[in-house]
Amino acid sequence: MELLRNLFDGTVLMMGFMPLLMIFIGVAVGIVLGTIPGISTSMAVALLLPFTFTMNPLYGMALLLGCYKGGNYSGCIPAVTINTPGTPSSVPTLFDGYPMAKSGRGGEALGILLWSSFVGGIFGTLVLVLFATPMARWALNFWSAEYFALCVLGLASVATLGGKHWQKALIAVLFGLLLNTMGTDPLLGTQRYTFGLIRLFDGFHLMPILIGLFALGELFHNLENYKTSDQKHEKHTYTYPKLLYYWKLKWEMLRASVVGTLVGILPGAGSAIASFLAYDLEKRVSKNSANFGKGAPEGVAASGASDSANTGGSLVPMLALGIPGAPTVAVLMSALMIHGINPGPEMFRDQPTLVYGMFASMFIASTFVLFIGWAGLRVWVRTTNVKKPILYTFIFLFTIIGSFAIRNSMFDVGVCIAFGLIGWIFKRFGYPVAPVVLGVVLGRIMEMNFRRAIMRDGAAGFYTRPLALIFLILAVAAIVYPFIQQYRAERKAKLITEDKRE
Amino acid sequence: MVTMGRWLAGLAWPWQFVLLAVFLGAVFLLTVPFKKIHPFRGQLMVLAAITWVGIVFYLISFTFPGRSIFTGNMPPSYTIPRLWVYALIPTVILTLIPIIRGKNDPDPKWGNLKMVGIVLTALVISVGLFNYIGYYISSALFIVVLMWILGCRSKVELIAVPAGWVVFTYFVFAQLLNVRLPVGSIITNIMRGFA
Repeated sequence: MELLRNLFDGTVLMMGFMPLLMIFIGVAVGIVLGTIPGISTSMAVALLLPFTFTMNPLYGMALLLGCYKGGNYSGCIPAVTINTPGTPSSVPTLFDGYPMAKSGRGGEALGILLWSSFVGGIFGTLVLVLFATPMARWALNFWSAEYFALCVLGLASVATLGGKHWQKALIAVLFGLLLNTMGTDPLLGTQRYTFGLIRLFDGFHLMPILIGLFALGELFHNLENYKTSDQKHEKHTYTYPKLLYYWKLKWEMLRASVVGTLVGILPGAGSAIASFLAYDLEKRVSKNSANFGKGAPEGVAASGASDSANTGGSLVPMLALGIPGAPTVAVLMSALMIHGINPGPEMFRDQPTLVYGMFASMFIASTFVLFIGWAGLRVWVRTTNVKKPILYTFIFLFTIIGSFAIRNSMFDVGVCIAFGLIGWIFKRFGYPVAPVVLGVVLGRIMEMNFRRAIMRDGAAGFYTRPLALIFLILAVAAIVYPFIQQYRAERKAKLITEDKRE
Repeated sequence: MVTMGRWLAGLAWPWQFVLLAVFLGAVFLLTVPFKKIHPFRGQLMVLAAITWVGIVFYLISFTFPGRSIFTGNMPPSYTIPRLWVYALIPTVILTLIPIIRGKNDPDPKWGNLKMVGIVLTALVISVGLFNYIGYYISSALFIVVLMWILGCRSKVELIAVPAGWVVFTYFVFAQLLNVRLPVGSIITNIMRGFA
C-alpha cells in the first residue's frame, strides 16, 4: 500500500506542466537522435546532460529518462528503414524488419516496433517499481564490507559478462578505478597523482570523461571510416496497419519483455544480449519459426519489446544498490551525482519524491514514446537520412560546450578531447569503454567503503560477514567462469578437429 | 622505490607523456622479432600504456604518508591505488596470454587517419582560440572548416549552420543556462577600444 501511495504521489508530482514538458522534450530528442545511426542511447543521454546542470534534479532526470526511453525505441527504426542498426541492441530488429520493409511491409514493422516498445517499457518499469523498493530496503542493512564486496561483484560481472574479450573489459575497469584515485584522498586529504596541477586536486570531473569516451570516442571512430561520398538509401513505401493487428502479437511482446527485464537486472549483461536472447527464444517457440529472418513480425516484436523492457530492468541495480548495470545507466547515475545525490538504497529513504517521481516519469515516458512515435512516424523515418557533415559537426559542438559548461573550465574541454582519443583507441582495439566509466563512477564509493570496513573490523570484516563473503565468492566465480567456458570451447574445438582428421 | 616515486611525482605532465612514449617505443621494439605478435600490436600497445599507468601509480604511491598516530587504524592513502595495481598485474597477464598465443582477433586495419588527424587539429586549434577570439567566432569558424572537410559544399548550409549554432548557444547556454562562454581577449580589447 505504501508503494502504491508513493507511486501515486510521484505521478501527481510529474503531472505538472514542467515535468511533462521535460519528459516530452527528452522523448522527442531521444527519438530523433536514436534514429541516426552512430548515435547510441548513452551518447544521446550524455549530450543532453549539460542541460540538466541548472535544473531541479527531478526535472533533469525526467528529461534524461525520457531521452533513454525514446532513444531505445528509435534505435530500431534505421534497422527497418535502411538496414543499419541505430544501436547494437537493435541488430535483431534488422533480421526481420528490413526484409519486411523490402517487401512493402515497412509500416507494419515500424508499427510493431512502436507497440512492442510501449509494452516492453511499461512492463520493465512495473518490474522496476516492484523489485527496486524491497531490494533497496534489504540493501539499507549493508555495512561498508558488504558495499565494497557488492561493488566488486558488480564490476566483475560487468567485465566478465562483456563477451569474449572479458579480459580487456577487466583491464578497462581497473583503468577506470586507477583514474579515480587521482586527486585528494577523501579520508586523509593527501594529494595523489596531481602532478602539480591545481585543477586535479579534486580529481577528474566525471562528465568530461563520460562525454569524451562515449561521444567523442565514437565520433573519431566514425571519422576513421568516413567517406565523403553521400550514402543514398533505398526508398520504401510505408502503410500502417490498424490497431487490432498488434493485439495478435501480445504474447510475443510479453515473453520478450520478461527476457529483456530479467537480463537488464543483471549488471553488465546489456540490452544487446537481451535483444538477441528474446529473438532466439521467440524463434524457438514460434509456430512461424521458418519465417524468421525473412520478415517475421514476431521477430520484430521480440527485439523491440526486450530492448525497451531492458531500460526498466537496468535501473533496478542502480536505484536499489547504487551499481550502474549499463553504460546509459552510468550516465544517469552521474547526472544524480552532479546534483549531490548518491544513487543507491539511501535514495529511497532520503529522496523518496525523486525516486517515485522517476518511476512515474518512466511510465509517462513510455506512453509519450507511443504517442510521439505514432504522430511523427513519417518524420522519424526521414531523420535517418540526416547529412553526416551536419550531424558530426553538431556532435562535436555539443561535446565541447557540454564539457565546458560543467565548471566553465577549459581544462575540462582538454580532458574531454583527451578521453575522446582514449575512447577511440579503446574502441579500435576492442577494449570496451563502458567499464572505464563504471570504474570511475564506483571508484570513490569502493575506496570509502573498503577503508571504513578495514578501520572497523580489519580484513576479517570481509570474511566474517556472511553477505560480504557471498558477494566476494560470487565475484571470484564471475571471473573464473569465463576461464571454464574458454577451456570447454577450446576442448570442444580440439575434439572436432581430431574427429575430422580421423 | 621512494626516490623513483618522488622523481616521477615531480615530473610535469608533458614529461609524463614523453616517458610513456619511450616505454611504448621500447615495447614496440621488443615485439619486432616476434612476427606472430605483429597482428596484435595495437592491442598490445594499449595494454602496455595501461600497464605503464599502473607502474607509475604504484611507484608514486610510495611517496604518500604511511600510518601515524593521527590516522590510527585508518588504511593509508596508498592502500587503494596499490590494491588496484595488484589486481592489474594478473589481469594484464591474462590479457597478454591470448595475444601471445595469437588467439585474439587481429587489430583492425587503419582507416582514414588523415581525416581524424585533420579534424582533431581543427578541433584543438578551435578550442585553443576560445581565449583569444572567443567561443562564438571560433566555433563558427570550426563549423565551416569541419563541414567543408566532411564534404559539405552547399553555401546555404555553410552559412546557416554556424549562424544558427551561434544564435542557439547564445540564447540557450549563455542566457538560459548562464554558462559563461569565453568572449576572448582580442574581442574584449576591441570592445574596450570602442567604449
